[in-house]
Amino acid sequence: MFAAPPPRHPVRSLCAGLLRLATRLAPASERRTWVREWEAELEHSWRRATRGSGLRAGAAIEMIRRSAGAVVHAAWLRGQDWRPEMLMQDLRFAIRSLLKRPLFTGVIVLTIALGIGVNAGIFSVLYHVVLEPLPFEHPEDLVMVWERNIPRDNPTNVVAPANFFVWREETSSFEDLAAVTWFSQALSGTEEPERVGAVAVNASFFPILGVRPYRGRFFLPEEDNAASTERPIVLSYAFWQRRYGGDEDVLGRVIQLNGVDRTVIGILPPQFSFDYLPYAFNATGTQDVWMPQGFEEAARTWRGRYLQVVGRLKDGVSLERARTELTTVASRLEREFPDGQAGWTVNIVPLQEQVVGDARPALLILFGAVTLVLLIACGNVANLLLSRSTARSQEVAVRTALGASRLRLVRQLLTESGVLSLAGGGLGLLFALGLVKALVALGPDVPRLAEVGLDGAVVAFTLGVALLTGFVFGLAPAVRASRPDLVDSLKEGGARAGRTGSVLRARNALVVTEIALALVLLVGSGLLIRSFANLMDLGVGFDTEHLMSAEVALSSRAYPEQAERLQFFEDLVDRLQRSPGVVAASAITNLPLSGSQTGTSFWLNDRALPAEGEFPVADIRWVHRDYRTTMGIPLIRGRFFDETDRADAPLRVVINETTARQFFPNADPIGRTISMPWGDTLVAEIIGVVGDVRHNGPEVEPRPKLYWHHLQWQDRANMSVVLRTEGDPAAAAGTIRAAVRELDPAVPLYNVHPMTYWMAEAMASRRFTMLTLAVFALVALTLATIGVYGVMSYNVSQRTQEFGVRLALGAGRRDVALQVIRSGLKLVLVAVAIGVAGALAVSRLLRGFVYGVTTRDLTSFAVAAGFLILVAVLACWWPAHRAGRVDPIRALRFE
Amino acid sequence: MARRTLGITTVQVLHAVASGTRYGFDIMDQTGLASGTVYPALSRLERTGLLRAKWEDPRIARDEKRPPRKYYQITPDGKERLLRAAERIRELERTLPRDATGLEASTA
Repeated sequence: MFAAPPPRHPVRSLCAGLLRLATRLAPASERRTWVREWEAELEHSWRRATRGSGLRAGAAIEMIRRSAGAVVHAAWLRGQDWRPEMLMQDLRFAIRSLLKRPLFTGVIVLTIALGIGVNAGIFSVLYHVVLEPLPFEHPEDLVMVWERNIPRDNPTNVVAPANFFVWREETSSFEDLAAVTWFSQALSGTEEPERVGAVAVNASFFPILGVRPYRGRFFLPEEDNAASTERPIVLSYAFWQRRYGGDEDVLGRVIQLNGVDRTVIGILPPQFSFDYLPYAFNATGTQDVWMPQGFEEAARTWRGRYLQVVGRLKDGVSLERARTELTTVASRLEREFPDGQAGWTVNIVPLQEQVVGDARPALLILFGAVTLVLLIACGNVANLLLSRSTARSQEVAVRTALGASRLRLVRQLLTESGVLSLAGGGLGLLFALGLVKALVALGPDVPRLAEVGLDGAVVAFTLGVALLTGFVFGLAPAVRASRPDLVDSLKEGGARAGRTGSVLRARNALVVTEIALALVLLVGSGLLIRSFANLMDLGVGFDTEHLMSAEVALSSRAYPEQAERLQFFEDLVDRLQRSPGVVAASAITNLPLSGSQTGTSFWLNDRALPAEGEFPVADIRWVHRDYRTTMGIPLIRGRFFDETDRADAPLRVVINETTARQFFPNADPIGRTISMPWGDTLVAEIIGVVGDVRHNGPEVEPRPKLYWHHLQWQDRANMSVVLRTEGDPAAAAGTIRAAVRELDPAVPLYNVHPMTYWMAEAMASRRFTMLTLAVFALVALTLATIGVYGVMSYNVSQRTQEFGVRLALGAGRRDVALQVIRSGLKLVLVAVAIGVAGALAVSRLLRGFVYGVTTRDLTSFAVAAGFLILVAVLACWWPAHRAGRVDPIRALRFE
Repeated sequence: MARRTLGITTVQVLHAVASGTRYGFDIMDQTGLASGTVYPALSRLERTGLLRAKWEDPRIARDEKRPPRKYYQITPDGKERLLRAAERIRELERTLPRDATGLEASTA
């Protein structure tokens, strides 16, 4: 051979060295013939060159050059493995071999798809709702400015106009501030009267946000003035489309709102929305028309807080500096005007924080949950790939024996897991799309949810996770499978390779982890489900079933006198009470659960007058006399209103239980008098105590509440009618419409909903979190069950011979089956112990979400653990059954 | 791969084998190409079926006290491809310039 030692010659040694290097480089599959060819050629050359007078210099250089060519040749051959068509061949092979095991492939693709799908879905929501900046210019400089009420501990109270004026005029931290109020108006003077959502803003509002008009223009500073004769309005894009079909000629047109002629000057861009405000309730829930505030001098008052203020910080001004400046102003005002300002200071909240603040914890919890699901899915994938690699070690051994290189094998196996990941990832994206749609449909209370969609970032994230999962878990089995103990694998038929040591331990650890993670999710969703049930049991203080409601608004132009308005509602309720199918009917100013709210400060006449700023506060409602019986609110003491409480009778008031408990803990409130500073001080006698109504949903503790008879003091033009019906309350919508039409066809009706609708709305965000977490827990449970089943049935197939021997030696089939279940149960119990510990640690995060249970609620833990154990044992059942049915003869022959 | 037109060096190697030069190193001698060029070309031609490789009669090698060499023969496919390549090269030769006339514009 050329490389053989003698005769030694430096050139020959050098050439031999190059050839050895090249040999190592050459692909294993062709190495033998390749070396033979090169050795023969070099040997032949060498002989020719050294014939006669020894090796001349030129010939020596030529020899070395040619030997170096061997390296080039070997490298070229190696490179042929990586040609696109070779990779395509790998791909085809991978797909073929995956299709040959449809069950394995299906389960693994589905597992990846579930994990990735929920992950990408939640990631989309989280990204859009929490992480993505608001769609305004430099949104990081936008803030909301609130008054903070110290005694009542309300950090975001609406703002008194006088404060807004002072802030705007006397501070330097802001580029500008704008006050926003949201209400509703009657659009009239056209063929079809309609209630529209209206927003009044300062002219500075749109420049602060950096929004540009879609058509026309926005308000000029001089138009934002009570003295201005201009009455400009700007339409939202949606309203422009809906009401005017996107007609460009609407610019310059005059339309009538609440009887006032207003000129359309601009259209907002389609994507613009500012429904982020926490006190954003009006009748329609929409923002159709925008108008300038046009504050009058008289509006500059300390009393009556109703503004929501948005501002833009000047370049380089920190939140802290602005806070300090405003606080200084506030303390000066408190000294100067103790009458209205005592107990009040200022609070600045970044707009982004304001918008997403409430939704953030729930979404972060869901994101945590979804990460657990992804981990479980990855665990399952790893498990399945591990079991596959064990099963394939024989195939790998054969291919290695036939000369396949390690790199080629690893590449082949990685191609397979890559194909699996991509298929799973692709399917997962479809899942994610569906999930996002479902979440948008389910969670109306989550801010900015309408903006959510799958986008490039999410797709990239998903594909990244999919590929990483495949490669990480494809790699370990691939490396392991590519270096099996060749001889053993060939001899034993590979049957036992997987049972030995580390692989089994790894697979058990994976399954234990999966079960433990699934338990954490089950416990979490159990806690939320129990909380939800507790809240539904608790209720809101009246029966929401068979109860219909609708809001009725009278225009001040058609009904200028208060007496007319009161008479209208008297007549309406009277008419409704006489309608067929109606058990009872009544009316109230702020319907429970609808979010609308009115409050007042008051004092008790037989106590010392509280200091300025320390007056007690109560919700206030004006009701028709039959309100209590219609709603089914229990009477605790005294009486509710009746026919004797006429407009000219002495003022009377009914209080709720919370008021009685807080202000008359050991006394009878009946017969006492209270006063309220509404214009002239109103003094009224307490005639009764009724049960609490949870106005903002079951989980919000009731506040003190004062009910007034609407005939005695009611300056509102709108009330909600409530109807107790015999049958389906939704069917009563027609009854209400007919009654209103008979009285006055021009009066609009809105928010026509059964009370159960408002209840569902009040529980929507909680239901959203609960259902989502429950779905995740179920997905996790399913994945973990697949994991348990996979491991157990694999173990059984590996132990076929052992079971055969046992059966042959006289063990009963039941014993064998029980043995399998026992070994499965052992895994599950270990997992449950770990899972319980994990859940104890993690469930504390749910503290803000549970109601009526602790985060260590024994029932939730026990039910979740019991359920999990049951399901896991069921997953062991089939493998155990198979173990018991092993045919001893065949099993032993197999050996 | 099979449909790709052959490069000039590949044609040179194929032609060398067709004209009776059978061993790798002899092809280098005849074409003046380096071994790092000739051998990949041989391997490629063998893989695409234009050449066929055989081992020399071991008796001859034994007589010369050296290992048997691998030699290459052209296949019918190879002949056809070689003829087509030759046609293409002649066509190319006709159109290529014989002196610098007409190239000034591009070299200026």
